[in-house]
Amino acid sequence: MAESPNPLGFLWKHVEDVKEHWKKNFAFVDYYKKTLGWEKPLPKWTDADVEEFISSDPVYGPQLKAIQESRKYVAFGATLGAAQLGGISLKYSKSPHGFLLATGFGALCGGVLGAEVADHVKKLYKVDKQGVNLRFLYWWEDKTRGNLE
Amino acid sequence: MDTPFGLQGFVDGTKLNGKSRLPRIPSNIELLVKQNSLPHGSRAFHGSLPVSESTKGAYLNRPLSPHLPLKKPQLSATYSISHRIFGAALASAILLVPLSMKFSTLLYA
Repeated sequence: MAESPNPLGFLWKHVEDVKEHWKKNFAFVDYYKKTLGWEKPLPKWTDADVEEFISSDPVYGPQLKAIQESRKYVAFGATLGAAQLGGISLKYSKSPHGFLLATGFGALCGGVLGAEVADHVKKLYKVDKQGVNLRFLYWWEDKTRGNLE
Repeated sequence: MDTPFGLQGFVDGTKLNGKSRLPRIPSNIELLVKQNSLPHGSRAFHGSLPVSESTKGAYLNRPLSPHLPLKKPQLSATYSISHRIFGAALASAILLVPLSMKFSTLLYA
């Protein structure tokens, strides 16, 4: 139909376009729907279950293991950053809350930097990290709800 | 080196040193003793007039300048305060969403 009978047709089309645009902007929420938005929550898993997934899956297992090892880099970077900024603020700051804020900010910056280092050392920038977590989650769902074998 | 500067006054037995302590008497009020030492011929300003012992108490106990309960609450001040509060909240939300995304993938399984 070339001519819309609705005089507001142009406006509605524009609203639809804007809706599409914002759907694209908020596409990252999809991951949280898949991880947190279960109608019936999955049973809790233990470290042994994660180990089992890592040894059973030839593709995503090593990737998940690399992600787990990257936590050490994050922890190390956060400790280093907290010690650095916390030390400086302990020496020069005139207020205890300033010392706390500086330590927290140092830990945050150090953690982000550590995560970046881990990305490059472990080649994690090639990996879809959310995808790996979802692979484990779906494996766990199949295992606990009896869809496996 | 004793206690770190940031913890002075919070750890037992430490005191702020004399230099950083706030002066108890405002600088525009001069004590009677000082007034006597003024050179001849100089006229004291209004602010440095000698104050009697009874009025000095009222001067020294007066509330200091950004004293909010003295001021009438106004719409413009409320706008200003809420503007800053919402700005801080929005900024922390914008900063925390990507950070939480970054760390949530590392800590999930």
